[in-house]
Amino acid sequence: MVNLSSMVNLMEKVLCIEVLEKISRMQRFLRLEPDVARQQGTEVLRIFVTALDGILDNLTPILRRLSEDLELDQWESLATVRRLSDIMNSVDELHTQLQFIHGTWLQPETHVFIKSVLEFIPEDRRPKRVSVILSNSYSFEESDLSLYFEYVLRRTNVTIAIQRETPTVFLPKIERDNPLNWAILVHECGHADYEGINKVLQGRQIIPDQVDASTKDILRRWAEEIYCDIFATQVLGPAYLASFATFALALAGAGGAEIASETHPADIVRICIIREVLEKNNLKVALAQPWVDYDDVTSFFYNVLEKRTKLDRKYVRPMVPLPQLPLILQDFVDASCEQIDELISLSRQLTLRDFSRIDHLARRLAKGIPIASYHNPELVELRRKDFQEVELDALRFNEVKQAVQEPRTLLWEIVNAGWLHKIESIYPDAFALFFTPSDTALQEKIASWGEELEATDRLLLKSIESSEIQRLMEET
Amino acid sequence: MERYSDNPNQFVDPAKLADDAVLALSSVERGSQVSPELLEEGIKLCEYLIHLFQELKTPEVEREQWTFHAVRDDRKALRESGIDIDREHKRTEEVKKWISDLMNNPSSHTRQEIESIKEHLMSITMPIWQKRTSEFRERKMKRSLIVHG
Repeated sequence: MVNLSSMVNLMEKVLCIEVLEKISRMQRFLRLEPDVARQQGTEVLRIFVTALDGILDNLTPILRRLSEDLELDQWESLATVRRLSDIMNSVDELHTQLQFIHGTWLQPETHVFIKSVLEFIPEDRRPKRVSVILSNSYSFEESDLSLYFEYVLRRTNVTIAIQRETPTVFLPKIERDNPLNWAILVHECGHADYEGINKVLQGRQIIPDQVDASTKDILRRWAEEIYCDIFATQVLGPAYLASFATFALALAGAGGAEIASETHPADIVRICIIREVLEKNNLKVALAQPWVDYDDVTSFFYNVLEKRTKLDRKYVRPMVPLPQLPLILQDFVDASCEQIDELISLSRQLTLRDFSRIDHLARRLAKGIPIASYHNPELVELRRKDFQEVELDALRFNEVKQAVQEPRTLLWEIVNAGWLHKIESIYPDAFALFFTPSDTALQEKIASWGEELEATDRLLLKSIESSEIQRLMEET
Repeated sequence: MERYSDNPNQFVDPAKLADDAVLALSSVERGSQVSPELLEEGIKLCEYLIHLFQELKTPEVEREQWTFHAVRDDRKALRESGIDIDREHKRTEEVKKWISDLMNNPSSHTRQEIESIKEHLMSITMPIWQKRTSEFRERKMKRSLIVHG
């Protein structure tokens, strides 16, 4: 049994499990791909499998050290994180080579997910549709595909004019079955809220006059990214922070979360903004039992990422000249957040009350029950005595009726419950499996854990599907 | 050192050697059994770094074209990090000797001394590691810039 409250090396263990999860998902992707054997023979697959086994071998010394359950000193911690970062980059490189594997189709639930996200955008500015493409690159991205094709062809001196406004989001292939990481697609859908973003960029001045043209370009891109972060946070709540923080943790190289780029503000700045929005709106998913000192999903992932960031802070120098002047940057972030919060105006706003069912839903997931709808036993008990009355007035009759009905769960509830389930059940199981000394081969361990991950994915996909069926039935 | 091997596919990264050596040194500190090959990686790393420091002190060597890209990158990363070459060179020589002592006798150095070896190996290889991971990040960023428009 894993002792959560006195856990040592939490950040390193979470990072290690996240890397192992990517490997397991790639193994599954290769196994599931139905057309590969027919089209290309098994040789190509075998090369991928051998490469993944090689990557796993590199993890063995790290797993052995973390299994000792003795606190790492700062140098061991840095060495462990560097190795894990290199191993994650090797998985990332291998992911790019999935271009050699064809014929993968999206889960229909992904479209349901995207459609449900778009409903948060008010109708007058909502894009008609956002396409989804499985990507070889391990990146979550958004593009207006028509504009992208125009750009690609223009480089060969061929000009074409094709249909405009074709927002498209890219989902890495190995995340095909993982609704928990579709959370980042919500940010990408924010990029398709063209009108909302234009309002922010053309509204009250957020970019200071004293910066040069290229810095202005960078700040404009950053403002759009902040817009999309706040959008995703307002749509999903803590699940977005969880998904983004684990992505940032797994892909952090030197300086990791503190390095800004021409396209994005530093991850840690973004996480701070997301956390602020969650706190301001009082959106919280509590843990049944605290991990070390963290008692909710947000503080758990924020602190894990912050610990990773502190580790190599003193060694890292910024590689790209960026608007680093702290005062300008701070003013810019404050002005952007303030204005975006005023302008974003989504069709519905989550409140803490909406999160009251998450804990029950996570417990159902732990029992292997899909969570497409939820029957609140406490509410039924409360109303039970009303059934015994001979005459119920209409108002109370409706209350009783509502209490016994099993209303469908909404998509953001499913994803938040999924993340809570991951922290409360999947991580402890993985910690016990991988960080307890045993004679079982690593390949065997990852295969059995892969089955657990797959079962959870199936539960979540089934929940999304059934919730959608119930919605369609309610509509008709 | 493999970085000078004829086969570029056999290059071993200095940061990886440092990571492995630091984990091995921690086992020595705790009194656990350690494979001598892992400590030897620390010695190989020191030898490679010493070679780089010598080159950094003789600017004409830096212009040589025969050197592998990886070696040039490591040398550049160290030069640009602004470290005191003389001081780090001397310290690396000392660290190499201390690791060699530990291979022969695990109790030849105090915990504080082992701690300082780990600090040296990690901090001296940070610029090299940062340069490499930054290039990886840069490639991804450029792709994202094109796709996102």
